[in-house]
Amino acid sequence: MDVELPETAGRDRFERTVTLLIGVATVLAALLVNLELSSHRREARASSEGSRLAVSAFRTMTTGSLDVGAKTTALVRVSDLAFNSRAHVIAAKSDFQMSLLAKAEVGSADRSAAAYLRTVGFTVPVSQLVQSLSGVQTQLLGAAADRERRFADGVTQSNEQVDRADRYARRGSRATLALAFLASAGALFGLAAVLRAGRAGWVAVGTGALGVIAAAAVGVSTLLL
Amino acid sequence: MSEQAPTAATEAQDTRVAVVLAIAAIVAAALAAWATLLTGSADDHWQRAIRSEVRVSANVVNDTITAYDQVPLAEATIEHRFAAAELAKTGAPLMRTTFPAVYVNWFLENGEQELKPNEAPWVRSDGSFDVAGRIAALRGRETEGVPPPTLRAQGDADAHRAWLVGLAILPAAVGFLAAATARAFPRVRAPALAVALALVLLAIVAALIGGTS
Repeated sequence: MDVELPETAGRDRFERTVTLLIGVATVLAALLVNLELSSHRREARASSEGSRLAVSAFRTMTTGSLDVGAKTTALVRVSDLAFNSRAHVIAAKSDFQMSLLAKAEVGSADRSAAAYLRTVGFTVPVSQLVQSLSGVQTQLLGAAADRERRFADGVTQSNEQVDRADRYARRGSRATLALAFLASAGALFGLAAVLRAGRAGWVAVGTGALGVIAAAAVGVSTLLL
Repeated sequence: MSEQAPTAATEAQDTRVAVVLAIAAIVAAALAAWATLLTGSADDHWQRAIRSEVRVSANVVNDTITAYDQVPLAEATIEHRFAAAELAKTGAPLMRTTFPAVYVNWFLENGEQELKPNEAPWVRSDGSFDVAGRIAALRGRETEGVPPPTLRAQGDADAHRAWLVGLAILPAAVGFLAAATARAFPRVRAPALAVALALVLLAIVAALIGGTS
């Protein structure tokens, strides 16, 4: 019958404890590394998306402003052409020659107006130009409102992505802190292996175990962010 | 002799455990490094996508400004040409002395009945300017490299691979724990070592499949 000496039994228990704690720390480290990498990826993706949305919002707003500006200029010019030419017809009613001239001006003004409107994206038949102007004006106001709404939406979405990136950055920092605790625990286990079974060795193992528990606690708290 | 044999067997078993522990640790570390590299690559692609997005946006805005800047000059003669055409239709002799006389004269002397398109292809026959076509033509001249959506998709693919390789670290780490258990509890050494080896192999295969997909 083998008799195990108390000294040998204590050494075995010590080595077993250190070995198992290192194994547990390794599994925890794998989880934390995954958490840290995942947080970093999500932060980078959200940050990139936030920047993209901001750039896109400003691009849309700038090109939209150019478009609305051109539409406004065209509409003002079209109104001038349409109403002035008709005013000339009324004014020249009593003079046959001037009346011919004024009628030609109406035809020319309407064709020019239709061309200006088509340039900025409004297709209006020349024969219905004057009747269509209020509709065109409504469309223009709608386009301006749409541009403003799209810009506001873009800014909101960009801000949401920045907030998301911020949250994942905090999560990543927390995971890094947990890994730092784990690294300290690993160093203490290494020290314990050098010190071997004895009061100093057990103190090192106990402190290392506390480090592992702290790392696990910080890791779990990371998921709550 | 009888005492030396069990000691040698124990040493051999300890060596096997140590080798499995080392392999598991190396595989876990290598996979973590690979996942980190893939994450860095994804980050790089996303950053490049932003740079590309800014470049594309600057070009789009610039091209839009250029196109709209060209409209007034391109359409400058429209009203005169239309006036000339309308006046010519009247056939009245006084028209030769009015404002667009030069166009009327030109039309009449050349026997023209209809306006011809000017500044083609951007000014159409009806006198309007093809802003969208002009912007498209200006955009076609730009050399912007890889488009942002492609770069973002490449970044997403790298991130997905990094996630899969990262997951493969877990069986390697659990394999390390199994090998540590084999070291701590000699009674379960053989099955624990087998499990450890199986888990490490699983990690390698999973990482290779996930990381190269």
